[in-house]
Amino acid sequence: MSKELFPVIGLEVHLQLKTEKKMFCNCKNSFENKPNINICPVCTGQPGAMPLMNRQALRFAGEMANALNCKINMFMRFDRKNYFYPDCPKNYQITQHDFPLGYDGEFFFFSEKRQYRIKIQRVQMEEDSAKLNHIGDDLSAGSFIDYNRSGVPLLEIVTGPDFEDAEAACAYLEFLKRTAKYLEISDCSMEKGSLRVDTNISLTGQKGSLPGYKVEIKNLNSFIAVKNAIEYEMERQRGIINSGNSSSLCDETRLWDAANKKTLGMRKKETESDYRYFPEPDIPPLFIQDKNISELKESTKLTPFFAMNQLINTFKIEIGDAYVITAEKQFYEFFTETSKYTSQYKKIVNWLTGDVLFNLRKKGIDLSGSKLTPKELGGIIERIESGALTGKIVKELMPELIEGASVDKLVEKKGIKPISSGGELDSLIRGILKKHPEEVKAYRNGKTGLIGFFMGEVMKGTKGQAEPRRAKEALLKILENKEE
Amino acid sequence: MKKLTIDSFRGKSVDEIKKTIKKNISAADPKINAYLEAFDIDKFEQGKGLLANIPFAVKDNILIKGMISSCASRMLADYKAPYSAFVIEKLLSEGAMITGRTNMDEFAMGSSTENSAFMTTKNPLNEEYVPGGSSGGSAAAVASGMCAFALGSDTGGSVRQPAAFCGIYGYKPTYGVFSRRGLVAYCSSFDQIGVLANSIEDIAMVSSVMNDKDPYDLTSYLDRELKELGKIKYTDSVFKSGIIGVVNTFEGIPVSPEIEASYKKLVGELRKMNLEVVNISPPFLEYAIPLYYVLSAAEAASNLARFDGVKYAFNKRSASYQKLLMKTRGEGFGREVKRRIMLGTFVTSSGYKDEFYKKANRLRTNMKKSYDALFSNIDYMLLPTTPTPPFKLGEKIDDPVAMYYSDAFTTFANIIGIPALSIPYDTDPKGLPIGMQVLSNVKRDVDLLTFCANLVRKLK
Ligand SMILES: [Zn+2]
Repeated sequence: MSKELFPVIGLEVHLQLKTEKKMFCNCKNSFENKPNINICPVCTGQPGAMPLMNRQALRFAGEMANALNCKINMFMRFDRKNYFYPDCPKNYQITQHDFPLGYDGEFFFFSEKRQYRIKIQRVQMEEDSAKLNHIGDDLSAGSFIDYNRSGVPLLEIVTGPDFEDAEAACAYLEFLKRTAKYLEISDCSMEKGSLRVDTNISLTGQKGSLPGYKVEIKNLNSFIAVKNAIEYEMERQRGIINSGNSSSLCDETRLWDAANKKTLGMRKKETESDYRYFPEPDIPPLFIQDKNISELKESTKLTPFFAMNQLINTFKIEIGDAYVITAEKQFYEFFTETSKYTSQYKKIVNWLTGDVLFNLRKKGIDLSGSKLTPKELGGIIERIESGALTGKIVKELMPELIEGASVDKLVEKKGIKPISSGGELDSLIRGILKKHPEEVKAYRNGKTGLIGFFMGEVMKGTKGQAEPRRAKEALLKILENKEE
Repeated sequence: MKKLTIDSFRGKSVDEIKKTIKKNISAADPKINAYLEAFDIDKFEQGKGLLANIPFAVKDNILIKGMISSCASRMLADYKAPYSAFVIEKLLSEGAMITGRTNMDEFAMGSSTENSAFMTTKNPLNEEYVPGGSSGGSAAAVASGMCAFALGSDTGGSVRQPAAFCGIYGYKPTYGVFSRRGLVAYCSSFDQIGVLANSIEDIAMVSSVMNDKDPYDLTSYLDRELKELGKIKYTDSVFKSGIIGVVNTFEGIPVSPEIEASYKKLVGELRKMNLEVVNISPPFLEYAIPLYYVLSAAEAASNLARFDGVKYAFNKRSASYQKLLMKTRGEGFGREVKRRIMLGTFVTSSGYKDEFYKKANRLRTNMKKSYDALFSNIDYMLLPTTPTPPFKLGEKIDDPVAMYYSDAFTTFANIIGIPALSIPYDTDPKGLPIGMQVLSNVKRDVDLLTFCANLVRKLK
């Protein structure tokens, strides 16, 4: 009989910080162009070269650690991680082992369905490696080394082993990405490698206790890959345990094979790699001042977590909608700006996530390229509410509105006018009812389902220029009053 | 043999200076082997500045742009420096002239210059003897008139010990006085560039030019007093305010009778001069050597990891990265370098790190505290530079531990970062030089240089 097994999942994320310069030298932080153009003695490991300290990277890292509610080490130090690999020019990486910038954090985040919380073990700064470009698939043919990426600032964020399923892990990744993008510290592109994820997975028979093994999965190139790999790996391990072979599970690194949707054994970790960490002697320890920390804490930089809470609590937006609005900072900011002109918050959400987004996508631009102002959108929503405009009209005008046209001028120019005056609408409805005496009779005899039919006719008759809610009210009034 | 000072070149034309240097090098260097490469100084054009046309030699682990910088290793035999060390830039900006790059123990690991992959340098005072090391080439060049002064590097005594063996002055400043950018790292937390010269005035002059905060070396700093030190002030007042700590016994450290006799003679002279002399026992001195070899090897193993045959310099093309690494490092490094890399890897490995690396580091912290306390009671400390007079070529090369003890009195200054100056004081019965070392607390470099210059003048 198979017993219940609980997943133990932890994530290690590497974020490339989009600073102007590299972590320990003044080379440009840019590596998408020609190979080996942004290099110097420091980032190519020349003899005698010494590291600088990138203050901007420190600040970015501090902002992220703060958003993850980490404690900040007042005494901060860099360490050397010693290992030989051809992409590592000094054959040691400058990283933070004993005194990382941030530790003991707690990250609150949302999915479109619920709120989560995860422990953050550490947030540490380090340098990226060079990029190996293999000649062909066979490593023996040799590799080219591009040092443009060498020394690019990296932030490593390690969670506790506390995710219970792939869904939570992916929600974390999405929200972490949003947070870094809100703070404008990283591009967070898994495709380009500016966000990299390693996953640790194991199964335990007893909730809360860690099993004696840990499987690390590498080569995860998308959030979908993370989700699929976790789910595959959980099933694989479950199968092994249920077939009585749990002793064959050991610490190992596996590779995600996206094409065949499975993890492949890479190497067993018989002994833990010995990186012989020791303090980096070329960088004096940094003593972080109280005032630096209070500056961080008082930072007014917007985070998606704050934005979600605002939408849910202050604007009473449903979590799913709030999740869509907060996907991009500019969407959220557009929302809050628009909310100054109308209190129809739900309507703002609908317009933004509906027609505005649709038309922007169609044009291949994002919100920053749109000329529709929050004030204009707010005014439009208010006028729809008062019946001075209809949704249908606005829908049709939206392509021009995002080009910056004013709705009033468009309406005037095109001669579009909503049928809003009571008398006009009433006589229109009466005309329609006259054409369908049979249906009117049936309705009045209790076949109220016909209301849909009448509404259709009314909208057709008004060419959509009637505001539906008002049209329905008027229709009901006439039908119920038994007016002819 | 004529010893040259900066002043001896003042007022001479650049051509006259070139002629003197070329003459002295061709007369002495074929026997001494101080230079790995004597530069073609005819290419040098008239210099301008505080050190205009002053000829100086550079230890081969300090980079000079466009020139080979080999660290006396096969590994870097053909390595051309892509940039110049900060101190080189400083000296060149004041018009000084580089005479060449000098021989050394490979990667500055050694105390006799016998660990050079290329040649053995001889002591100019007696060619059967070593010039000391690791800056042996620089010391020999200064001592034999092949330059006015030379740069060396001092990680555990590598400037002071060869200075003592060659009868010249050797200065290791407070950690950070000279930028280490462009100095090929051996043990980054001990390494300091130092100056070897024939007078303390020259050392002061050169140091004031080289000192600055280098934005590219986070451990460097500007010593304003040193920067503005023009001429050393000669005044008896330095003696009135200076308390000198001396030792009665060299507990734990084997010292040869010649050295002990010289040391006692100097202490006696100080007392006769009515200087304030107090007895001290330097804390943890007997632990300095083991501590030094644990920590310096640990950092060396990491600093020398970059020499892998992938990027530059020596490489043995191989079918795999592993083979490339093993062949390149196996053939590129000499015996002593490999010994220290293995030692350093061992003392930082898990299972041994606590017992060796961490323990040594704790002791280092305690030493710093203890010496800081000691220096609150004294201004200067007097010790021999070396426990023995110069030894013969080949005498200690097969006994690494005996060789390591050449630095018994020098390493602790690097461990705690204090400045020290070796002064040529005496000669042993064979006529070989004996040096004495004066040390002071961190950042008291100008006091140290001023005190020593006054003392030397008084002793004459
Ligand atoms: Zn660089």
